Amino acid sequence: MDAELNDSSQRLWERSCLERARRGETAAFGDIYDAYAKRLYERVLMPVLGNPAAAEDALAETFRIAFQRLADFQPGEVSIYYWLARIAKNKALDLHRARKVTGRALANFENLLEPLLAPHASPEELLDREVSKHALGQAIQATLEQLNERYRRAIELRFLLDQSRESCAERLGVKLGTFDVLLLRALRSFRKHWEERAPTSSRPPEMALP
Amino acid sequence: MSRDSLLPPGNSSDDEDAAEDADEAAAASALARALEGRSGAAQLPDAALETAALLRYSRGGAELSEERRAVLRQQVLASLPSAATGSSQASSPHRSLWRWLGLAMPLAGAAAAVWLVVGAFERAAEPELARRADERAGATPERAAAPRDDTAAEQPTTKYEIARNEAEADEAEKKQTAAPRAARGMTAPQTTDEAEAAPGGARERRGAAADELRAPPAEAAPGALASRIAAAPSAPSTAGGNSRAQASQARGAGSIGAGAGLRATEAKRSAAPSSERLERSSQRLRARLQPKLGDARLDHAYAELDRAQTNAELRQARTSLTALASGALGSAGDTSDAALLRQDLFCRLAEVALRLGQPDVALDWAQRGLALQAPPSPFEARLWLIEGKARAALGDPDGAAKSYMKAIEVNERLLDESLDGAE
Repeated sequence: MDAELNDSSQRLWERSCLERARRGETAAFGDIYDAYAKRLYERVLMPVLGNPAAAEDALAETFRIAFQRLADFQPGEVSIYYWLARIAKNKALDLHRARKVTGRALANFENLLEPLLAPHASPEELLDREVSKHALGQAIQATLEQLNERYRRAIELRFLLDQSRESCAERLGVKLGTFDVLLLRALRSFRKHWEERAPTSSRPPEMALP
Repeated sequence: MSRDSLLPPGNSSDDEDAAEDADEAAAASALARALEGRSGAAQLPDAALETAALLRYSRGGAELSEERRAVLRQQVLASLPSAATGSSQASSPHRSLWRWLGLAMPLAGAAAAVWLVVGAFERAAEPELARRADERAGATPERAAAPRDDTAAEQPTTKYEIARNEAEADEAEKKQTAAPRAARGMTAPQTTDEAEAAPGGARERRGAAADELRAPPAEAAPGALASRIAAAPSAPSTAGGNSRAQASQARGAGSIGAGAGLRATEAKRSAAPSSERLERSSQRLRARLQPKLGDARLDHAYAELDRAQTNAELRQARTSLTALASGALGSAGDTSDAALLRQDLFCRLAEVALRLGQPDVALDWAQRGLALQAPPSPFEARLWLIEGKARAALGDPDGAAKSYMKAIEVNERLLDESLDGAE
């Protein structure tokens, strides 16, 4: 469990904010937002949604719901962050369920990160596991090296150098439609090698949290 | 292999160097669209999208910037109920329930009252509307009793459409009465602007015709808008069909003065807005362009599509069309004619996808066709129409309405060109 979240002074500060927020002081709730929004977005929402716009929506909705349910939260031994993380995760799963209606392109890649995460010791940790950027970068580089040159180039240009489709197609000397197909195949190939390197867990796709 | 090579020669460390099929092409384009933040599609390859998200995540693509965090903070705090605290809300669920009931009951009452009033009006007006609609259609009782054919199915059939047509006729009649008054009491227009604005002037003629095509916001429903945009005239270069003659007739009628608005409107109405008309104007343009291009593959593919009845035949035709879509059309490369025909090709691929129940694929083809930026033509109008249908099928009514409005804009532009060209 994160030492910062478990720090007693941090929890005292949280309680103070909570009491003021329950009295209707939205500024106090804003302090809680400031403390945990970024973390929720990056560690909880993005791995489940893979879509920045959707993650932002879910983040905003998480705090709205949390404010409405502040009375339900009983401060205990753990930080309010984990309570917020549960709400956020359920909200993210709601967005996945609504995909057919909203047409939003969402991508849950938690299972792809799984091999890079330390085994969790508690349910709370399941909601707040940070992936080492360094380890992730190394794993991706190693997988890319297993791909053929053209696939590797397509992925590097599009995702690591963040080039536009048009620019990627031009630099690879193919038409735009051809590049789309090339990239699709490159991603499939990458995933195959990624899973061979470290088999991913068979995560249930829509795990509802309590 | 229909496209340029996907892999360099001799590199076969993966087994993906086979030619792509239509499904893969559709999946690839759906993925491309999703990666650009556009809506997802049924054929979206989830595994590839997840992998792409992982790759973006690895390079910091999952970070919430300070700027966005601050913007979201403002939005969140602004949306909080500041007067009521969380605890008071949670501790008084009954109060919350009563508050909702308090809001809902008057609304429900108002809705019921409106329903009753509108229902009574409709019941009273229905016989009269039906009689006037029959008169306008020149239908004898026998004809009215006869089964409708496909074309008739495009005519106004609901009392709302009939009422709308009546309103338009009334408006035209107002113009008709205004014209002689102007001739009696007003001096001749002195400026170009006055001449345009005068009854029977060019602005009125264009306005009367455009009224036929312009849908009010309340008609943003796919059916109503689709029927309106189908009033497409042929592109100027394809004139010679009925639309142009009728547009000229409308213009000529306008120049007479009295009754100009009515006749212009009637001429446009007799031009019978129908989706078939748009299809026919596309066919005429296609028939004119295809021989010029001289691409036998295109002729063959279109013939195959026209013959297709079953889904299997449609899929086969789609394969031929997809192969054509990725290469140059005609022997002389991409001329402007070829660009137009390519747009038509994408349009037909989109139609096939709709027929196969794949609105997401249809949307993609339509968007590709629109991205070609060919000159305005009935093909472009049809692409917007199909895009609207696809969006509607994907549960995006707002997007569908926008697409239909775009189709209307294209049609209006074509109409203006048609009228200007005939002057």
